Amino acid sequence: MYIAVPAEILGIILPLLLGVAFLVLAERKVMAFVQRRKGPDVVGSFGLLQPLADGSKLILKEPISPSSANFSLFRMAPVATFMLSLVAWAVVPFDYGMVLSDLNIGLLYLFAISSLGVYGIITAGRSSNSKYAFLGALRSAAQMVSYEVSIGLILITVLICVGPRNSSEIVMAQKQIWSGIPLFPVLVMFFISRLAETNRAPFDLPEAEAESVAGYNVEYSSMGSALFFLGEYANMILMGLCTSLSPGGWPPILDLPIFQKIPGSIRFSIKVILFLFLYIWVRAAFPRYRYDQLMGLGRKVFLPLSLARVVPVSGVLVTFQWLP
Amino acid sequence: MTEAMIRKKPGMVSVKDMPVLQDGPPPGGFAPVRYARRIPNTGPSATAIFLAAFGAFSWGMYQVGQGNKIRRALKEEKYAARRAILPVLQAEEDERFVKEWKKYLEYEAEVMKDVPGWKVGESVYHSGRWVPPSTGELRLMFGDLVACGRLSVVMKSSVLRSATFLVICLFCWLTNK
Repeated sequence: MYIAVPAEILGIILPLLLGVAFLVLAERKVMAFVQRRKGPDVVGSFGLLQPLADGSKLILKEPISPSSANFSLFRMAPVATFMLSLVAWAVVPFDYGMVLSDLNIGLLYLFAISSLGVYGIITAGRSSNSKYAFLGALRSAAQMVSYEVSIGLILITVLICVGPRNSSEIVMAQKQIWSGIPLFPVLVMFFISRLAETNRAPFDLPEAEAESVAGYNVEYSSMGSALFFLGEYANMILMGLCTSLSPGGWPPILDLPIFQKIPGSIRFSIKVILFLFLYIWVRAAFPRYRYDQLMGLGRKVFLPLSLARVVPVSGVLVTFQWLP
Repeated sequence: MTEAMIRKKPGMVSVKDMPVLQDGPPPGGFAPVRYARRIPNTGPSATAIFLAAFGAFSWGMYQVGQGNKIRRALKEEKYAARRAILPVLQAEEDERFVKEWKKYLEYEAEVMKDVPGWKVGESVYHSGRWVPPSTGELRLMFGDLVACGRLSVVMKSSVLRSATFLVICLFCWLTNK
């Protein structure tokens, strides 16, 4: 038992890191194809060795740290962000019984980890000892916190339908019907809130290049910024995963025998990949929100809407005694 | 050097006489480019979208309700099975505890046999009720579980449970809290 657990951990982390590396490449290539050009395709065939080249470059380059930065916090912040995005994968169910740790409060754990992610960003901004980084970090943190509220409310809506917070059970409850169908508007809201939560796609003003000089990670170079971006992409995969927990994790679409033959984890990965593609598509397609528009959207639109969704869902379930 | 090799014309004396390479339109000009906006304004009306969403919501919630009923029945079955075997498990634990308690009483008698006026096994409390021992010596140990063949329990994480805690654990396990 004690030997199996590190093997399970490695079995999750190694593919995840590989996935993150290739997600960077996939994003560049998908965005390029949306914009009618080809992405990186020089390094390997179809650019498949590009992540390797990028990774080696970032590792081998000299890390420059500002002299007046608070050194230990400065070094710790990207590590903390990266570690948090990896740690959240412990409660993700890949197949029946394939969870690293089947916590009974799995969903609450995920939510707590994403709340802790804010600390990493604030630490990075504050310890860089630079006005721009600090402001960028504050804006980013404020955005993350606002959208976390709406994420929490939407998760409550899903939990009311599904019952306990055990992550495996949430997926098993999708067997009858995908939660995404009755809660389809909720799914859309969840998707958008997740985009905003990870400072991604149309909501990435705090880390846009032209504004605020790349935000909170302006003072980081090579490995530091590499860790930040790895953490952000790992977070993104996690978000894609959460969004795919709602429309059904591993039970197949239809109960056909051909779908039963494909292992559950592969069906799950396909769903996650679909959502990641949607993320990249959204990034390529829409212009960026201005910061006040972004915060207004979070507080004035998503928060009331997600609150409003809780009411009919819970009302219907209580009225007809359909509670889990 | 290579440009000169590609673009040279015969009889060229110096690079300054290279033929000019111009990037221009193809012969016949470019194809016409559509620059007018064409944003379609068709599609389902607001009522249609609202009704579709409402229909999906109702049907979906109905299905969720059915699924929840099935899950509730499954959970009830699981709890009923656990309730059914609870007396057997408690009886086994009681047997083991009685054996350990007897061993403990014998040990106490042997240790305190020279002390005058010592009643073996006498309760140290004044309430007159049975109070289980507060030390951990009589707890369910690793070896006990292996001995009674409960290897599956051994392989799980929680091994040390005392007899008093067993009831609490069973209660929580029954109701799956």
